[in-house]
Amino acid sequence: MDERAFIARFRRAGALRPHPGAYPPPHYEATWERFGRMLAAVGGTFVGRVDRASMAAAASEAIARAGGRCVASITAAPLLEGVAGWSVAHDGGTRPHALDDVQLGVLTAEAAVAENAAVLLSARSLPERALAFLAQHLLVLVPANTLVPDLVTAQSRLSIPLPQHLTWMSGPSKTADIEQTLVIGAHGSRSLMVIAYED
Amino acid sequence: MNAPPRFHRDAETFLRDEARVTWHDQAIWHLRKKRDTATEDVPDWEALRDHAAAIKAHVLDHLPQLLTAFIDRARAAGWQVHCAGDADELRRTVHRILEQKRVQRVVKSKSMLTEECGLNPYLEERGIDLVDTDLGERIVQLRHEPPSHIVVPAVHLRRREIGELFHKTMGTPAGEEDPTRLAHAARRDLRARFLAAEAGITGVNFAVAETGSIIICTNEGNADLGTALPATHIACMGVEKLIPTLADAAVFLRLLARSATGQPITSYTTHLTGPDPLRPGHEAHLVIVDAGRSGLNADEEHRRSLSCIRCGACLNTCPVYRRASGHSYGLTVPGPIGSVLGPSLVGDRLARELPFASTLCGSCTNVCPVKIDLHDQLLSWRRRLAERHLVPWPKRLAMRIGAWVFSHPALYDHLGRWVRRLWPWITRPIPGSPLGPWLKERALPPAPAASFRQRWKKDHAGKRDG
Repeated sequence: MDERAFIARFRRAGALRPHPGAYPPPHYEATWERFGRMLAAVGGTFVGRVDRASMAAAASEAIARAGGRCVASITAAPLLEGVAGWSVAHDGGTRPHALDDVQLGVLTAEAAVAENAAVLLSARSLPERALAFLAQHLLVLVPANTLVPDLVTAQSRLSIPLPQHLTWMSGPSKTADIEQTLVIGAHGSRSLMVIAYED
Repeated sequence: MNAPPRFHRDAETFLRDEARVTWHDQAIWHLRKKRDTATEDVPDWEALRDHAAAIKAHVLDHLPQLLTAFIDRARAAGWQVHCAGDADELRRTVHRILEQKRVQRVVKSKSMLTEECGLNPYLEERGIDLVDTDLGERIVQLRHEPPSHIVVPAVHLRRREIGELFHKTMGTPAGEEDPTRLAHAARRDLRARFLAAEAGITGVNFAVAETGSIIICTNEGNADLGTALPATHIACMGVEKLIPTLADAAVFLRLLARSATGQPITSYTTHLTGPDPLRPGHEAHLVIVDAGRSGLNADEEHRRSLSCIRCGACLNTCPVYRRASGHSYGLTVPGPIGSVLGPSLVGDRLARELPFASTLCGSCTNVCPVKIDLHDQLLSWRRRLAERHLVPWPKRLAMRIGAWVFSHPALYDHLGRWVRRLWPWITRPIPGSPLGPWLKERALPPAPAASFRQRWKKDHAGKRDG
């Protein structure tokens, strides 16, 4: 229907209640210890806060274990220098269907939240968006200095205009639709490993 | 909504299977307990609820401004925006887009709005191969029945029933009942459909006016696959999904998953802003729907119910929902919030039984993350239904007699003596008596020997003497 007529349907007369203002950030400890604890609670694994060499070693081990195609995002590739057994998604996000057979996806995250173990993926760090959802397993590399305590802080730091896609990912995909029994691996990744690395 | 809901009849049918009722009650209560545990990790929980309620109040007062800002920014980001006045216009709009793009196969992620508007049957009748991808929704779709819960749509089913269904429809081994193996079978089956689909339809949890973005929350990742793979995305939202800013979204996101399933946040919280520029030919459509919401927003007594973020907490805590199950409500949104929205959105005549499907215990109001005064609204709907003569005549007559007796103390006192004396006969269900159905559902305690007034007089007198 006509847009202006549609909008006019919701007009209100009289005093209009104001916006309550910005919500004060809650108090959560911004520690990787809390992040790791929360990640375990939502079904993921936190490897730890490590230096670049240890990160490469852990990634190398995960890739060796994957037993199938390993694909790194364009931003994760530079971090995997010297590690064997992976490739990048050469089409850069233009042909998402081609990533269906990926066993392990290696991604970078732009930030992490201690409150709820979410990591931030967006078009900036992950132009190959489908990789995060098609890969059977995920390894996420996140700079240790990007941890924020809570979602209020995290959400208010997003810069506008937003990239076309932006996802807070907390743990692997899951469902409890059959008799409330938790099943990890619904449609997205069946496992999620996060490494915080020192630059 | 075609057939009028028959809460009383359908709840009675469900209640006959006592073992299932007990199991259902406990399964749902488990969700409520998980919510309680999750809130303990949020020291500012009550302040958060207050703030969320205040944002929603602001939104409901400023919908034209927010809509204008949102639509402008959404267009600038590349969304193709459509406004639908009612359910039929939503159905026709979505179908037209699918026709223009020559779409045959659609993957859909959970959207209570499209469920409410009857989108699935409309598209299926027109030859579209439409697959619900949320596991619970897929299960009820394969059973040709509606969801019974807004967060866990197949919560009324036992694993054995789902095993039999998957055996017939997906070829899982006969007798397979393991939830993990069943869910993974559905994963494989649906993965192929995600890859083959030409369009993805999703709902919207929040629409951010500040950026022209929509936010979709899932645990399964189905909305993400459904928007990352097909060439066309159609998002359907009710106007009440609007929020002013990205920072406001944090307030609601911190409440939503904790209230729904006890998680600190859903596995995937995805902000989408227009079509993906990297994918050639990718289109993103946004259908904004009224379908009764403008009318509800003009109803001073009940407009607060438009603040609902569909977490399901009021269902999980409701003693009536837990024992009657969602299908008894006959509406897309069951439970306390459904009983409040129903009379507005589908009509008070159709939904007239629902405001009475409550004990008015107030538990729904206590758990609501956006502080909707649910039990007050249920009560005010009862009053309005009575005013509109939509309450059955025996109940109206009984209430009138009651009012008359209660306003005559001497008569009340006198009748009380007789009622106490005849109590065993009055409370015995007599087939065909007008009190019969009422007594069948209520076990009454024995009557006290004396009335409160008599006891007070006696005790008071005793003390004075002592």
